[in-house]
Amino acid sequence: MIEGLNKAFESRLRLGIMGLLMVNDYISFADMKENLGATDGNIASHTTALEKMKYLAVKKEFVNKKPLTSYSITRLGRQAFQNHLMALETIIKSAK
Amino acid sequence: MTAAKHLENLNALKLILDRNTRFLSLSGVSCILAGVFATLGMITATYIYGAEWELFTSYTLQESMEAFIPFFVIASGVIGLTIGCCYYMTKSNIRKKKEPINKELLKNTVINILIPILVGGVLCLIALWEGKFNHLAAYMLIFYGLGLFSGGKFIYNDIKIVGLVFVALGVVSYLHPQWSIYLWTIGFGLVHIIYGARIYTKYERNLQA
Repeated sequence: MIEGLNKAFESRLRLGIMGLLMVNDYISFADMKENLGATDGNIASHTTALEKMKYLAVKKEFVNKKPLTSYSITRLGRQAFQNHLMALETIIKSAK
Repeated sequence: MTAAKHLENLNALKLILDRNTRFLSLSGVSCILAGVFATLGMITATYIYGAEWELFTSYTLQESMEAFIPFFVIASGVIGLTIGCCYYMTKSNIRKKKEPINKELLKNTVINILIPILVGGVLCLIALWEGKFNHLAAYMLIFYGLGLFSGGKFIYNDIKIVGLVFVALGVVSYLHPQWSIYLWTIGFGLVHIIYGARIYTKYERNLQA
């Protein structure tokens, strides 16, 4: 019905994940969880889905022998998210 | 999804973005205290070195380290008290807000503020070493101002303006070294107190409730 809206960003959590990635070069799983106040499972499933669409990149490394997962946004993801936000803006403006 | 639902989601997003691009817990009270410490430091130093700081300029750091001991003691006291107050009061603000802080952002803020200040600090030491006292206050004001300007983008935007005020005071002090003592006190004392009071009334007071 509405053009430009991206199904991939429909849930609030995904909106939050993409938003965080837009303003941070990298963000760790733990920081993402703390910031969005979501559960491990929720974050994991949404980031996996977004990774499959190539909207975000995952980096896994060991820091002090502990595994550290961090995420960054891809160029495709940035473009898609910007388009989505523009579409949202149009909808909200026309609803007023 | 309806437009209202979208709007609600966007507002939640805005909150997350604010928290991750700006560091909004700086304590205004600690800023006021910084101004008070600076003024007290200046009064003490003037008491020791004379009204025009004439005793200060009789040696270079190269010739007599001892002559500068009171100066360094007062300076480190002022800097130490200021950083300590700022650290503890800002930390308590963060705790009151109960919001997660972005450590990466905090690190960036501190680095952006510190680099110009450290450069200025090195210049000041060189000036003391060579006995070029004329521009000491100007270096402090200018480089501190540049630090605030570069760090300001991560804090409240008006901090950038405060930074420019310091730079302007510094330039005047460079041109008119005889006013240095007063310009320095206006900058580090008065400007800090006014700006701290502004942060306190604008952003901080409602936190206490």
